Amino acid sequence: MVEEPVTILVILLIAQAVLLATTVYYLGRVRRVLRIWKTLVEKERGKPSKPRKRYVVFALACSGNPSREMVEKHVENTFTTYYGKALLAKASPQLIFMDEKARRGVYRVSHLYVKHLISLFTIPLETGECKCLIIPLKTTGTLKKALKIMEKKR
Amino acid sequence: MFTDLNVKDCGSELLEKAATLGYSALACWEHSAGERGVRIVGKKVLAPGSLEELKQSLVKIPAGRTVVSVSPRDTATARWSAHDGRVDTIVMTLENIDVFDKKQFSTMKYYGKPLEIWLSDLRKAGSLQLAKYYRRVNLALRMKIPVITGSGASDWSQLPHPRAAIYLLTLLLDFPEKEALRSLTSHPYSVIAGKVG
Repeated sequence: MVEEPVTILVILLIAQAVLLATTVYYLGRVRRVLRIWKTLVEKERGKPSKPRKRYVVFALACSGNPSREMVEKHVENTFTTYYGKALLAKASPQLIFMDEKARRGVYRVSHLYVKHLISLFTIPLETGECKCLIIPLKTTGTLKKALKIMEKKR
Repeated sequence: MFTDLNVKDCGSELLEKAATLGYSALACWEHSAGERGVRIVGKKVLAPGSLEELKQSLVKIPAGRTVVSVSPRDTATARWSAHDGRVDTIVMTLENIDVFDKKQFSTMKYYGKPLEIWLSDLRKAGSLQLAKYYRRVNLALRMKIPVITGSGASDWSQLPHPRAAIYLLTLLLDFPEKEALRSLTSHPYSVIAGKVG
């Protein structure tokens, strides 16, 4: 007679715990921890991590009118000079969007080489009379967010 | 609290850009414009050929709001500038790189003298010079000598974004990220704070 309510109580408690765990999982915290743990395990096993894309939003402070080609060429040349052709191929930086009037743009690069790309912004872009300083604004994981930031910071 | 301890000409445009990039203090060789949200102190870089020349140059510099840096050409000058209280930093450039050995760094550590490096030198350096630079900077870091990074900018387009400069130091010279940050913030600021109070 006494055992029945205890069993029901235990079952209820377990159900509540399961419900709580599911809620927390879907809130993202546990999922994030699990993902980090999985990455660490994969790293130890020597499995190469999946390259993800990152979008670097930048602004240009210029004394002339820079064109898209100028920026592309400058980044490609400096990347090769400082880090070599091999890393250029791996990083594959691509200027995917540039607003020449607003002097802002978005670079796409592999997540492993974001720092390499940003570090090159210390080298000024100088061609003829045009002098430019490249200012990194933000790095995002999606193009949509990058474009939103570009619009916002205008 | 980003600080650049080596700017050649602080014009009004450069000061505006520096404020935009987040710099709070600059040490300038020449400055014509007034402070525009950025604290400015003077900067003197001495490159004496001999010890006597250094002593004569130091006497001429009035004490006050000027950061005094020495770029020594020989060992005697380097040792002297390490323990002279009037000298704020010792500059390692591509020309005097051979002067910096373990003993020089030991002296600098004993007297608490920071080492100053310039990003403009990193841009100019060839692969052999960069290798020498890398070895010496890492020796200084291992010996826990404060390393200060200056841009050496002569106009606004050469002023680097602080985050980009930190990444360049981390990737090119293997600075630990925290030390790279300190080389642009607390280390140079402590030199400037001693000048302006």
